[in-house]
Amino acid sequence: MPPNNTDSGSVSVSDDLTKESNVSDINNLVRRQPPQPQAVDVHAGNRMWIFKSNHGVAPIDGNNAKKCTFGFAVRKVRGRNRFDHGFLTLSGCMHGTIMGFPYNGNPAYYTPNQNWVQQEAIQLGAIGSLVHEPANGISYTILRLLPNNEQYTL
Amino acid sequence: MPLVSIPVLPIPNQPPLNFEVCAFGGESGFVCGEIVDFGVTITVNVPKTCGDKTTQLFNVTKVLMNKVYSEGDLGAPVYIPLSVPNSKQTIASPVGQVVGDRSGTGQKSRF
Repeated sequence: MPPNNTDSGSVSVSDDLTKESNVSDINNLVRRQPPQPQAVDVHAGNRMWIFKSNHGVAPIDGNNAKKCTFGFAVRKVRGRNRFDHGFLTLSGCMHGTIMGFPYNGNPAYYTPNQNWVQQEAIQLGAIGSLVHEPANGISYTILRLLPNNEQYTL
Repeated sequence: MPLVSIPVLPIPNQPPLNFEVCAFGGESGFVCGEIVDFGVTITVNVPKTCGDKTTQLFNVTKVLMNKVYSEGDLGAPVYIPLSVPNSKQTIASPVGQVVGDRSGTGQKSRF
């Protein structure tokens, strides 16, 4: 049973918005700057984009994603695979293959303005830990937020 | 059209019929409405598929909201808004999450 925890989860991530910038002197100067920490405020009710995989970068087309909503904030404090910041969401938000095999990735992205803009997209984590109990009307999965370490928007 | 809510955790004291609940979806924003039915069976996508397989979900609670809901709202938190005594603050008591019903046309219904 997930903990009854509705406090907002937030995570600080690093950001390198300049990695794919157009060539210019100014941008070249900026590119040499180390990634700056960026505070990301996410909470239940935010929109997220879930892709099958991302090959290390944010996908260009947000229409290839399943658009879902962050559910209640949760954390796991006991047992294996503990995490401090996560969100429930619907199990149907997970991707799978035509043959019915699950994708391992399912990276979840968020954008500050809540519209898909590749350059602004921040990978917050991946969804997993499916709980599907049709008889009880329960079917959810968990988005685990990545820890506060090196993360890049592109 | 009614929004459908499924529980994220067992509720010892289930809210009664016509009880007000609210939700906040990433696409439709803040909505409120009342519970109109319990024990509903709906059709949903099988998790970890590409959306071409469906399964039934039982014991679902149906809620009539004051606003149309969209597919992007799936997974949104459904809660009971509670007032803090002697304060303007409200707190949210979690009761479920938004889920879509694919029965009928084969398309996801809009809530």
